[in-house]
Amino acid sequence: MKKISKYFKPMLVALTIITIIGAVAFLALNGVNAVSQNTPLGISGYNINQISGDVQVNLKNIVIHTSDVQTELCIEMPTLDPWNPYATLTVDGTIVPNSEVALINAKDPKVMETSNRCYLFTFLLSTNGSTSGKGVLKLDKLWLELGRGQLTADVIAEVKTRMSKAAPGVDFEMVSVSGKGGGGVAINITSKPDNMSDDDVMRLIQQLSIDEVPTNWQTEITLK
Amino acid sequence: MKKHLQRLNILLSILSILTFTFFPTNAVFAATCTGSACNGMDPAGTTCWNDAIDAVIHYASTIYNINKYSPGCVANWSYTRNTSATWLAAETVGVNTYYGNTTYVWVWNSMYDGSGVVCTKGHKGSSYGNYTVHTTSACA
Repeated sequence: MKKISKYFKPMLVALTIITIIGAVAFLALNGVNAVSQNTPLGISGYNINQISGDVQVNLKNIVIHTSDVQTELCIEMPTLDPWNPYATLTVDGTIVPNSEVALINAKDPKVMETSNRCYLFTFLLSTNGSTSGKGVLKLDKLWLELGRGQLTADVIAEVKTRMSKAAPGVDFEMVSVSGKGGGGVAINITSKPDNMSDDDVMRLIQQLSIDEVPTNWQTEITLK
Repeated sequence: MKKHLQRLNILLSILSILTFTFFPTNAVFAATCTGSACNGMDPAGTTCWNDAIDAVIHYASTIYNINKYSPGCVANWSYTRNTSATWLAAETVGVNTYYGNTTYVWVWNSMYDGSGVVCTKGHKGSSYGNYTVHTTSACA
């Protein structure tokens, strides 16, 4: 009993120190990761205004066919959220947007656990091909749909908040309808300013339900 | 001695609480379904959409089709979106197609076992069943 009493105080001090160190370490790590948390909705996991489009891109491969160009880019995403890249290829002054974007190893359970993700882009070329033999490959932006494309109450609230700032006077309903074998999202515009058409409002709602980060990476490539 | 044991007990209790507060084990949420058990199920409102990733995206005119994949549910589904409300369809090739029965801004179909390669397509048209814009097959 005396032995236990003898070691009680040092043990108490040691355990307290371990707990404090553990708590501090956790808080520090949690603070660092807060911005890059992979939240289910992608609404509160990052601050869009604090995300830089200055992303690191590694051009891994280019394959040139007669009718298309395929290129693999590995991109350092700003957060762990499910960002999608959008790229263009400028050939002889013509901007060709990507027609296909495929996440490489998409079914690897760990692919979204890292911010470095590789994509295969496809650009369809005109039958004339390139006269100069050169092109400019540009990563235009990163984008993601709020709620990963699922219309939840949080997504509707967020889009309405954004709309109240972007175009006061616009009011609308977003309705998710589930049917046999799937579902769809309809938008009912309930009020809008006279100077906006239904199409304008619809486009704006769509824009506000997607987060975009313009990026500035580009490189010149040889097409011959 | 009894007093010390009481203190030790209190201390260990506090430590346990702190440990579980600051170092929680990774919460594991049961998936709504897995693999073939997801066949035909609407992903909306399930855990499958919560962790869905955009495996492949194909563009055509003003629409894009996403082959969505849930790693938690191991299931794919098709998702088609347009810039404005119109007649849309989301297809999982060889499995099923959801034809929007009114004008929608985006549509999706039911899930299919993602343990193998699954291909999806998107369609847009001027009326129900009359589609003129099609994305090519997006496989993942």
